[in-house]
Amino acid sequence: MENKYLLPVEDVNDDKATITRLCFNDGDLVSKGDVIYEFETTKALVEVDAEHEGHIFYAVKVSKALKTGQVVCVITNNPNYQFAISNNPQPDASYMLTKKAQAFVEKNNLDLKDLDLSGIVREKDLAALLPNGPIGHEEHILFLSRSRNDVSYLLSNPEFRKLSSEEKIEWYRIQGHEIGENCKIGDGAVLIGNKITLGSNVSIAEGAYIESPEITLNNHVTIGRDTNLVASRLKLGAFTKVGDRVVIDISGGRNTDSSFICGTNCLIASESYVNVCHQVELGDHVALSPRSMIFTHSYWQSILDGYPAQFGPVSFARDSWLGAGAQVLPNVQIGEGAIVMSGSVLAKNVNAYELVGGIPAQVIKENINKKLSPSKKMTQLEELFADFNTHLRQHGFKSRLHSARKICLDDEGSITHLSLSQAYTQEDPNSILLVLEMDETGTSPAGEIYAIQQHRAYGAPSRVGRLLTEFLRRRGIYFISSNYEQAYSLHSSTS
Amino acid sequence: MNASILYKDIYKIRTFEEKVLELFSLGHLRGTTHTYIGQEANAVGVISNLNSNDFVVSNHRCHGHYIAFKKNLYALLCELMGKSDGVCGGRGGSQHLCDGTFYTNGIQGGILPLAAGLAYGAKFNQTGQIAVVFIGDGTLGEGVVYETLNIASKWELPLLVVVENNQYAQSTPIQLTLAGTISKRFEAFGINATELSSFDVLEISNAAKSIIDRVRESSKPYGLILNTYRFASHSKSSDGRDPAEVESMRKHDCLQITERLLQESQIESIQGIVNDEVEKVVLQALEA
Amino acid sequence: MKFIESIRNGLDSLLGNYPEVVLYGEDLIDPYGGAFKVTKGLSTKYPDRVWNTPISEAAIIGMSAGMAMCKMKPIVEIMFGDFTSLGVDQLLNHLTKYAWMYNNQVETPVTIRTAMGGRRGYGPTHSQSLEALLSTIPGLSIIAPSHYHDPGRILQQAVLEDSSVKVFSEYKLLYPQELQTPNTVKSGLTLDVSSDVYPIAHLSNCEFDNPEILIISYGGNALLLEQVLLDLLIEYELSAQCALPARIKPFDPLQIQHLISEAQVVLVVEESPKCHGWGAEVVATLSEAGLLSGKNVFRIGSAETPIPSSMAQEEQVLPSAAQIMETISQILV
Repeated sequence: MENKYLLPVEDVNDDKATITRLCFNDGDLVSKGDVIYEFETTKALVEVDAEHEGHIFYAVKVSKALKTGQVVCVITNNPNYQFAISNNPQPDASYMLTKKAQAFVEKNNLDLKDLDLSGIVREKDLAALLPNGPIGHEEHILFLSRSRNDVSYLLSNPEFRKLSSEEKIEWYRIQGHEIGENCKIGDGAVLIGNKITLGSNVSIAEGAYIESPEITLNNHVTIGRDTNLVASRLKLGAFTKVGDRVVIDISGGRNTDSSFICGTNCLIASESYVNVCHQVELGDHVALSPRSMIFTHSYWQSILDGYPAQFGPVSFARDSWLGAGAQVLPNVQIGEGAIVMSGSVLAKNVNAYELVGGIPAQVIKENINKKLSPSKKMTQLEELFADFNTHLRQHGFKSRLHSARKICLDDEGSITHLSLSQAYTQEDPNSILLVLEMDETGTSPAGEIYAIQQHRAYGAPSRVGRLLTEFLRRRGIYFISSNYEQAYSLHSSTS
Repeated sequence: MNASILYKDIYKIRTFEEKVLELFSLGHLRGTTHTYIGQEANAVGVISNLNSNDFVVSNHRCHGHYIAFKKNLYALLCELMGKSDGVCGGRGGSQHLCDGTFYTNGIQGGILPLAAGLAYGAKFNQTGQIAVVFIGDGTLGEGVVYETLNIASKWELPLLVVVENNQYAQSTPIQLTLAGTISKRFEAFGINATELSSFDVLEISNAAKSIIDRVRESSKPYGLILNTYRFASHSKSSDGRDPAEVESMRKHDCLQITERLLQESQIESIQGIVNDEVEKVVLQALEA
Repeated sequence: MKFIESIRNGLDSLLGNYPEVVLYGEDLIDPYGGAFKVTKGLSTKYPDRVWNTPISEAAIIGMSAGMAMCKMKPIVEIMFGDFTSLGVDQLLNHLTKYAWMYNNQVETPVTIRTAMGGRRGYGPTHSQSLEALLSTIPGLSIIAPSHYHDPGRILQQAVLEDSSVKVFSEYKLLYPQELQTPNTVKSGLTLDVSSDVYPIAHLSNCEFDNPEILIISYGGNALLLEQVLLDLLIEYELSAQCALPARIKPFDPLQIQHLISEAQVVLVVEESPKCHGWGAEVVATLSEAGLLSGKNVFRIGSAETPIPSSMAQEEQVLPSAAQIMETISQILV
């Protein structure tokens, strides 16, 4: 039989009180009427008497603040009574990690012992405390794990590179790497990494050498001949094309962020050189023209001899373009839609939609892009459309401009209509798209669709379709890839 | 107290109230109105003994109290007509008047705490004012009346509670609603009360004078129960009372009782003056 | 300083400096000093102006109007907010009507202080938050400070400078709370209090972000919401802020305007029943001001049942941190 004594409510507003005196030792025998403990509220000291006889055991210590209703002591006939759980242990940490911060600590295996933390610590607070780890960058150094069998095998057996594409892919898959459908790894080409992920239709040409602890090449990435890509982390977005004899390396030393991160639909043209001593990041649809060079460090002599040294990341925002042979120095950010002229040397940031050029590069023009109204775009397209009709005739098609937005053509006996229309896609129901439809009956659903503003082609390409994308590309309208996505049905279309 | 002065106020109330009913029939008034016809001697008898800065709190049937205390027929009529020259700019209408230290409200019983609060203020500020609150027999059904009587007695507030017992709560006779007696209800709270069944304004006035003096001197509440009768219906609605009963009560018309104290010429002169005033006020108010 | 001391000091200062101020209600004189001890010591210090009344809520509320018309500044204590219902006729048909109905010939600067709220186990008739009910009375102001305000100062200004009829709602669980200032606020939270007569306290779990969550509430709900702000931070790193206007009626959308623009989720939290509640009024007012378009808007209030005495059941009926977290996480996580 145990009798619990809970801290009573003495004053109407008190939700807690302080225990000021415990009158016995644990296990002592008490009698009814004995004062067993004393507590203090905001207004008074209150003594509590035993209502029972037996051995007393206290659940609290003197000077402990207790909430009303919590157990103060127990009087029992069991002389060896033990409390099942302690009353309310409170950790006294001076800081508290958010769940995201905890995950960050675990992921990065951080030791928080020497960090000056207080209050509630968020993931970004930790990231900011780490050396060279500002937000938005890959935070930690990755090394090839030479203890891995696959890594050590690839490093020590150049013979592997001579296997056929299918054999290599099969081997990578057996090692647990993820290789998508339709990938190709050319003669002499090899990828070495702790974790290799290839999407579908990735193509790696002959003699390419790719080495990074983490390699991610998304769908339709193509890597040119004899290209060398080495980084702490390598991520290429879908449809990105890397040309021949491109070099990405970590000269200048591996850093916390020696990674190369690139968005979708980028071009890194032949013989370009990118140094990733610090991170180089390309947004979507960024072009580095042939022989462009990017440096993330610039030093040779020692700073102790008074020489300068500079280290830092480089980034290109979406739709920007680096001209042929241009050079970019450390700590430079290129804004959205900006253009750097060929042969320039870039030492300063470039704002969005600026045209810069020269050595060192200066602003030549601002706001180089123009927002055209849909009707103006349509007018431009109608002109191109008429030209395309002529183009088709030059290629031997019997074609006729039926209206400003419709071409009828006879392709070896089958009649095809080509129409230019505004339509809404399911993907983007709120914006008007300019779409070329091509089908045999002239009615939807279309066989091939070229969503001009989306830079996307849908459906299996016909001869006319290929001609069309080539024609438009040569006049300044690009499509994301010559690879066509599967057929896509338009939500509605009007001609 | 001079009978001719009291008569003038009684006649003024009677004439005004009859005019109000007439204007109602002619469509110049909207809503409702509770006329005081028959009970005039109560208001005039009590209020004629008050100081002009005393507080008077009244109820839905308040025109008579207003005329007896503030005498401003034009402002009252404009208020009934919803015009901006009304005592409350037309916002309150018939049951919601305020003019100086005169207040009324249309909720039964709820005015007792107001009156007690005013009495408290008078005592607190030591102004020598008293508060008089007029209620009817129907209001005795409201609980807040007794909350207030209890407090007024306990806190010794200079408050005179006048119960005008006209025998009917709207259409329901007092026999169906009132248990015990009215005076016992005061007695229960240790409040002295005087009950008077009179239609004689001089008698009422004399009784009221001594009570009001005692309230002022002792700063204690007092009850005055005036058994009375109204000749008109409760409001603009039809009258459910037995017409024979109403007719038989006509012999207790305070107006005629007061006329017996006056000479013919006095009556004529007073009536002439009041008739002129009411006619003038009606014309003014209609044009306002 | 504790919430209760702040109010007591406010009353003390009013009584000490303004002879027209009186304070009365049930059981508030010494040695008892009021059911919640707010008035302790005041009747000893001001015996003529602090007094006990019978249990007659209608009469004592009603009398305050007469006193106010005599240029007094009455403060009436109604022991439990639940008991204000006994004085609703006085509030509805008398106090709030006089000034306007009498064409502004009188003023009724009356302050009704009362203890509201649950979570004390007092059960169905001693736990309610009747702010929403009372707020439907035209002309009645409702003031409900939290421990992030200075309730004593607000009370003084309300009594002295606000000529409307006011209900000053004191949340029971706030009484023992220490008042919070920008310097004492819990780790992880920041506090900013406006300088209005009826200030808005702005509590946030982020210093520089534009939080995606705005919670509008008042009074003792702040106890719940300070925990919610911390939980949002610790569980999801969601940035959130809480706007606590000291005066909840009339509700001034301009006080909230600058806080609302970045919010994706707007929640109104009250302990009054959600149905036909204060939250509905706030949401409608903000919506009419064009401040809510494109935002996810929710109301959280108590359920449509009496408040149980049992703690476990009471938690089901009153708004809880878990309920608020769930509502937010459904949208943002």
